Amino acid sequence: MIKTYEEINEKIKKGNSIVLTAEEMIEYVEENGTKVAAEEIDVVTTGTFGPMCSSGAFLNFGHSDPPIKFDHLWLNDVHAYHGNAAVDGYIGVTRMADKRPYEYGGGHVIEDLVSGKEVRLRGISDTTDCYPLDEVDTNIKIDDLNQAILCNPRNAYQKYSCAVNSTDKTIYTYMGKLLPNFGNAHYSGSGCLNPLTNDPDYETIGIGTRIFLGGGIGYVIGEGTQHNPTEGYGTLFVKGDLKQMKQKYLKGAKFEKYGVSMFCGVGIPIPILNEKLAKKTAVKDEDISTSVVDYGIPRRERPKIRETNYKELKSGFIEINGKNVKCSSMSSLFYAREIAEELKNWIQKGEFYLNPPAEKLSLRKIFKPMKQTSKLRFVKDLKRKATICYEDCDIKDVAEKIIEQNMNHIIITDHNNKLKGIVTSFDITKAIGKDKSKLRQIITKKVITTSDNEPIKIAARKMKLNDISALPVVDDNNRVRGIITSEDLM
Amino acid sequence: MGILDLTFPRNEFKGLDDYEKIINHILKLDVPFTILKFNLNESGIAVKLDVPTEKVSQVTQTLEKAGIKIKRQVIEIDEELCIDCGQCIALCNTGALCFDEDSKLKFCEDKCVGCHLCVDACPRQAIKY
Ligand code: SF4
Ligand code: SF4
Repeated sequence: MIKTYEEINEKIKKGNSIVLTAEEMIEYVEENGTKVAAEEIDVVTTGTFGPMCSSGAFLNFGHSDPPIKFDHLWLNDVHAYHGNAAVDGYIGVTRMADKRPYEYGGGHVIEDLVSGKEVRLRGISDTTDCYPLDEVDTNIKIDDLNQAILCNPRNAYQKYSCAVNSTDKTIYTYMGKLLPNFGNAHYSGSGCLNPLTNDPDYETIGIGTRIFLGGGIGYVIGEGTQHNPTEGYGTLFVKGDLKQMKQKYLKGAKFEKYGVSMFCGVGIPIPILNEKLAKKTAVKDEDISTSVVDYGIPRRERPKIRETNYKELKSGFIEINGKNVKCSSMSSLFYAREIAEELKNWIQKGEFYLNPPAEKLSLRKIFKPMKQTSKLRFVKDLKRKATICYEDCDIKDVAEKIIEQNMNHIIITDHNNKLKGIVTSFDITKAIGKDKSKLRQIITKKVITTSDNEPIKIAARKMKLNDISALPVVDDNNRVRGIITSEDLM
Repeated sequence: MGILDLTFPRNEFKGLDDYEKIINHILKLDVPFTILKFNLNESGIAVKLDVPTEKVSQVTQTLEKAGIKIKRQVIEIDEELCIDCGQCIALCNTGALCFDEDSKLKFCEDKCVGCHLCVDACPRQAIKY
C-alpha cells in the first residue's frame, strides 16, 4: 500500500492534496504512468448526472394540533407514500401528480422543496383516539420540515445500455423518445466519469463512503437494488440531507408518454491508495463496453443489436446495420463534469474528507428476474385459424366467407400466403352499400400484426392502443399463421 | 413526421398551372406526404404538409427554391430549464441542435426547420415554440 486514508486526509487538512477529475487522470497517467500517478495523486473525483428513477425523500412534517396520523398524503397533488409513523412520509420521484400526471411528479416536488418554494401538503386520516384530526391542508417549505432526507435505493449505475427502436413506430420509453427503424439512439451515464466505473472492484466505494449527493454531502448506505456486479452493472443505495442540497443538482424530469423522474447528481471521490487504483481511475471511454439494445421488443430480454463503448456513444453517432445513427445521452456530461469539478474543489479547500467503507459491496450478487406464479401465455396458445381470401378475389366472395364462417375479420394474402391486408365485415357492408366491387379498394393495407411468440398481454395492448379488435399472426416472412381477436383474449 | 407550414404567395402564383408545378416538384422528390390543411388567406394559399421527418430538409430546400414561403415554427430553448443532457440532439435531423465544445447544448436557429420532433423529447420541457 502506498498511501492510507489518514495520510490523504492529513494532506487535505493542510490544503496540499493533489486531486484530479477522472477525465484529467486519464491524461496524467498517459503522460506519467501509473507508478508516478499512484505516488503523486491523492484523490480522483467522479461524477454523473442522469435521470435516477429509484430516488425519493423521507420527510417529517412535525405534529399538527390536534394531531393527525396520515392515511394518505399529497405534496402538490403528488401522492406520497405513507406506511410509517404518523407524520413521516416518502415522496418518490416517479409518482405522477393526480392532476397533470405526465408533466409533474415527485421529482418536481423535491426540486421545488430544494429551491425553497412553498409546497402544498394535504393529508387525510381515519382518526384515532390519539390522532383525532381527519384532514390537513397547509403550505410548507423545506425549512418547516424536521427532516428531509434524500434516500435513493438505486443510483449511479456503473454503466447502462444504449437504446434503439427497430419497429416502425415511435416509442416512448424511460430511455426517451425512440424513433422508428433505428432513427436515433439514447444512452445514459458519463462513461469514464462514472463513479463505479472508476472503482470496478469496489475497493474504496462501500457502505459508509462519504459522497457528493445532489450538491450536498451524502453517504453510500449499501448496494443499490438490482446491484449486478457480475455483469458490470453495479448500483448504489445512497442517502443525504436534502436541506443542504442544491436545486442545480436535483431536477424534476418528465418523459413523454412514459412518466416522471428526477435528474440527480452523484459524485464519488476515489482515494489513490495504490497503483492499481491509479490504473483503474484512468479508465477510458473506449474501455467501457456496453450493449445496444432494441427497446422495440417489450420483453425482459430485449434483443442485443451489438456491442459498443462510451467513446463511440459520446461521438454522437453509432453504426447500426451499416447506417450512421444519431446518438445522444439521457444524462448530462456537462453537469457530470461540474460535479467532479465541484467535489475536487471541496477536497482541495479542505471541506471534504475521505473515509474507508465500513463494509464492502458485494462483487458476486446476481440480479434475479421476478418469480411469476401464473404461466406466461403466448399468441400461439390462443390464436385460431384465420379466414383468408386472396387479394384478387371478389368482394362478394369475401362477404360469403364472412357469413359462412361467422368471422368478423378476413385476412387478405397473396397466393403465397403473404399478408396483404385485412377486411372487416363493416368494410364489406360499406363497400356493398357504395357499390364497390374491387377488394383492393377497401382493404386496410397497413396492418398491425403479432407473432406466435408474443406474450398475450403485449398483443392485447397493441389492440387497445390502436383501437382494433384483431391481429393477424405472421411469421418472420410475413406469412399468415392465424389470427387472434379481442374475444379470444376474454 | 414533420409538419411544414407553407404559403404560396398571392401575387407570385397566378394560375392553377403554377400550383400544379409546385406539387409536381414535390412529387418528383418521391416523398410521401399528406396535406393536412389547405386554405386561402390574405397572403396566398396556405398549406400544411406532413412529410417524413428525414425528408423535411430536402422538401424545404426544394420549395424555397421555387419561391414558396415556409413558415418555420422554429423552437426556442429555455436556458433556465435546460440541463444540457442533449437528449434532443439525436432527434434533430438538421443539425440545429448540437453540443458546443464544453458539452453544453447549442441551438442554431438558421438550421431549424420547425419540425418539432425534438419538443416532446425534452425531459425538462425546455423546448418551446
Ligand atoms: S433535451 Fe431539453 S434539457 Fe436536454 S439538452 Fe435538449 S433542451 Fe436541454
Ligand atoms: S431543432 Fe427541433 S424543431 Fe428544429 S429542426 Fe431540429 S428537431 Fe426540428
